[in-house]
Amino acid sequence: MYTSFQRGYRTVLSLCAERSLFTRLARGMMQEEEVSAQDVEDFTKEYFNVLCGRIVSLMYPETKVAARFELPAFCEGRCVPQGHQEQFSIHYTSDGAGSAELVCHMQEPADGRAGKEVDAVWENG
Amino acid sequence: MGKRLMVVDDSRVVGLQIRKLLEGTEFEVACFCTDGETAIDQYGEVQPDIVTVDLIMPGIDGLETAETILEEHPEARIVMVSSLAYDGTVQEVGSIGAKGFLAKPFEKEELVSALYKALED
Repeated sequence: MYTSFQRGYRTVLSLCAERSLFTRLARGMMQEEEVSAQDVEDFTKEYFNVLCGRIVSLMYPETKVAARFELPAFCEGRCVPQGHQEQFSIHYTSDGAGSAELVCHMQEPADGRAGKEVDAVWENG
Repeated sequence: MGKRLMVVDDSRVVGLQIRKLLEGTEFEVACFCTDGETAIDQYGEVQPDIVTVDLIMPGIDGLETAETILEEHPEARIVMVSSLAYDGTVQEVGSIGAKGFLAKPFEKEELVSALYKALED
């Protein structure tokens, strides 16, 4: 899953996880043992949508950035946005339930000043 | 008599979730719309007691959807729903005349409480 921010932070967030993790979560949320591939995809999009919203909301008191992001897109395999480089990632691992990785991608600068651009975004809000 | 709810959200998963959460309560999902335009078109026919509207949707967003419904049906009771739960969003919601704001993810009690609050005069 991935999404890019339309306003606010100049970044792309991607969530990469084993399908089994999202299948398990979708089953729990829908309270159904059998869930289709479409169910898992739809659930995953909404899950990521909520995750991004929570991130923006929790950061708002500090940054005062009223960010918006695009509707999440689903893709098979690891997402590597064109023209972006990985800034940092957060890994989640659960016993027997799969793992996930949240990755923040920043635009590749022409002159290698990604760090200063991040600071500028935070300063200007 | 049960209260009829119109759910407006581009994610069918949310519609399913709300329907399940409201089982056993006096609320029932009478109509589920996946975009604002459809909700605006159908409101007059469905005449729900309450509408929940997702803030971020393709096409016209939730705020515009809510504003349009309220212009055409000032009696409408609308609860905005979003994972973007910070001050700016909540203030925007209040300014258009919505009856409440519900932050995702929500539990059954939070949903039911928000719906009852929206019904208060």
